[in-house]
Amino acid sequence: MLNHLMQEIVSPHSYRTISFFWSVLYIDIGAAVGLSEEERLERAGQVRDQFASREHGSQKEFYIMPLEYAFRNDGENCVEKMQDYLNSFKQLSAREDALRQLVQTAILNFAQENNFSNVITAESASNLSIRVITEICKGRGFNIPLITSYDDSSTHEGVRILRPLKDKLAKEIAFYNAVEKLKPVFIPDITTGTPLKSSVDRLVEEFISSLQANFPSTVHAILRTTEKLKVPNMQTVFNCVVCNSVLTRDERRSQEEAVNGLHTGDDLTNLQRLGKMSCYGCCRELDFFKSSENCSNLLSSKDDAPQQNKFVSERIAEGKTILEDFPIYVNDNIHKLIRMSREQVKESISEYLIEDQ
Amino acid sequence: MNGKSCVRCGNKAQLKRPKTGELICKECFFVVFETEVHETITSSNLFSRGERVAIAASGGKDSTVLAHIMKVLNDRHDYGLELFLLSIDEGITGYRDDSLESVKRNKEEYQLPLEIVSYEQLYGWTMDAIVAQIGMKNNCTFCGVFRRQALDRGCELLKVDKMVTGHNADDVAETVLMNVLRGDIARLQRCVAIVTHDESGGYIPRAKPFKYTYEKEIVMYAYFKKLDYFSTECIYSPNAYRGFARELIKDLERVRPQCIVDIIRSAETFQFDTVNIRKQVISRCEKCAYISSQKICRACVFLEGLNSGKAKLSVFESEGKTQKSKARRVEEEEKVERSKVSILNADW
Repeated sequence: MLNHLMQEIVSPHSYRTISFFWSVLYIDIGAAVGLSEEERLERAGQVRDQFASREHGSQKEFYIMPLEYAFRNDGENCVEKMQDYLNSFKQLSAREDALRQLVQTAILNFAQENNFSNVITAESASNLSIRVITEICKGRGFNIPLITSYDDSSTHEGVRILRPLKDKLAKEIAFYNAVEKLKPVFIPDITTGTPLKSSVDRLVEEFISSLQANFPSTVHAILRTTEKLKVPNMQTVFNCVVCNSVLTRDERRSQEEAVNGLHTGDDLTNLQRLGKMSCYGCCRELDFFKSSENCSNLLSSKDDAPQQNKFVSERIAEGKTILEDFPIYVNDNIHKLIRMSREQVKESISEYLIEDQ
Repeated sequence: MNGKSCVRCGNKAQLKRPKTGELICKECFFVVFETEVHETITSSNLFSRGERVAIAASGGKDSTVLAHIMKVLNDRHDYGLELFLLSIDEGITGYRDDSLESVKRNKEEYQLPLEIVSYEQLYGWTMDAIVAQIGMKNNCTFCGVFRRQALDRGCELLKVDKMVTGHNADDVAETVLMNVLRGDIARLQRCVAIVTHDESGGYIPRAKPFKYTYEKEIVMYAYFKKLDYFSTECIYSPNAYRGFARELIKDLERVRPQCIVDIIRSAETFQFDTVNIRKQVISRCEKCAYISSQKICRACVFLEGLNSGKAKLSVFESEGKTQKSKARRVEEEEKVERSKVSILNADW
């Protein structure tokens, strides 16, 4: 639907023509959900056809970004690495969360690297209300206003996310597609075919859908609530190293402690430290990293005593850091964080430093 | 679970903690349960030495465990509090009369003074009589408004400085979701506060020492300690919309127990735009002098409705102008019903 509307808007025959350049980005999550190479190519082809310009003369680029690129490193099989990473989360809810973050980051990184100033997504009111409740259940309440803001003046390092279908219900979009004879391409998700009560996301989705069926104002009521919340200030450079969300004051303090406690040659990421550099929600998800029993309990371990799950201790014994299992951008984020922290310290003592002539 | 050992002491584990999934023995469970409540009390500075504190006691599991644990912690950690039990008798036959019996037994067991305030004595109406007039729909609204005021009146009688209620983590998480679903931003802001009070001192501060305590653990504690409580739900229909939220919380807990505390955490980190929240101007009700944001408090509006036989109408009228049209509709429906009655009478 979004593509169709965009076509309408830029079409020379449209009654309101707005001119801007736009491209289509398709994040191929096929490897994460177990599609074969052929299936992935087929799906990408279908999406490309779907987005192929119906208006001649429109120069629209079509990009395919395989999700596993976030793990691309010399001489390693990035598909396998990504699958290992996702499978390391021993709870379906945590795996879903990790996948969503990979997609989100892939979009933003692509936009930043290719100098796109805006990203337009087709998230509907129904999607967004489900997402809001899911994030509340996962402890990320602080960042919720950023999920639903329409034209958010704050940007992700220069990239703004626009959600023009924010007011439309999934049902309305389905009607539109039916009327306009548009056929969406089905791409399976990590939870496709799993039981209703298997993950937080699935439960919330089912809950909102059935509530909406009985109380038709549910979805919009949820979004109106979030619109009344204050949008966190995105101008800070110190974000969660895993999901890049804005940190609360407490989370930022804990991150600062973790960075300041680092010494040269330290393993940057025992799970404990990674947890401290992340937001509350990611810290919770990391609890399920290679551990199904949530015994590491990162959130409750406020002291510095290393309290790691079995996997992490084994990893350290092997002389590897757990960071090697994470997407490359997490590593980059940590290094950036350390650099920024040093710069901040340097600035605070700058008047006492003698510059080389 | 057979043969597994307690993660704390190494003895045989007897249960899996609902909150964390840890395998633990009974004695260690008592210790962690009590310690966590104590930590909540001290880290939030809930009480000061020498305070008189009323425990809102319904006879149910939450308030029975609350009474037990307040007594235990007050003695063990020498909080220096003077404790009282405060019960409200809503006048619901087959429910409240039985649960009050268990409160009376608790009074004897913990040697705490008990004050019972009844709707009948305060308002001249029991819930049985109210339901007889208005039916099952909306009766919880009446009960809620009356109970709130009745608890405050009870606190005045006992001359206490604070009241503690047995609201647990599940209740708080459920209320958070409810307020998000309803778009009630003012209540959303208030509902996660561990102490709610009115700055002008209009009513006694209320604290929730079980704010982070899981309902399942409260049941477990009551079960292992063999506490005497009454476990029947209120016989008048529960709020349907709230029921949905409750069910979601239960399902979420099954998938990921940490969700409950994470929902509370989320609500604690919400930032509110004060511009969007209508600040309540608290004054006194012209009729009963109870604190109210309107000229006449909701309890008095409801009472007037009950006494004049137009109780259904008063529910909408008390909710402000936006509900006026609904109120008119109800008034018309009632007129029709009255005319039906008169027709029936005429037939006779």
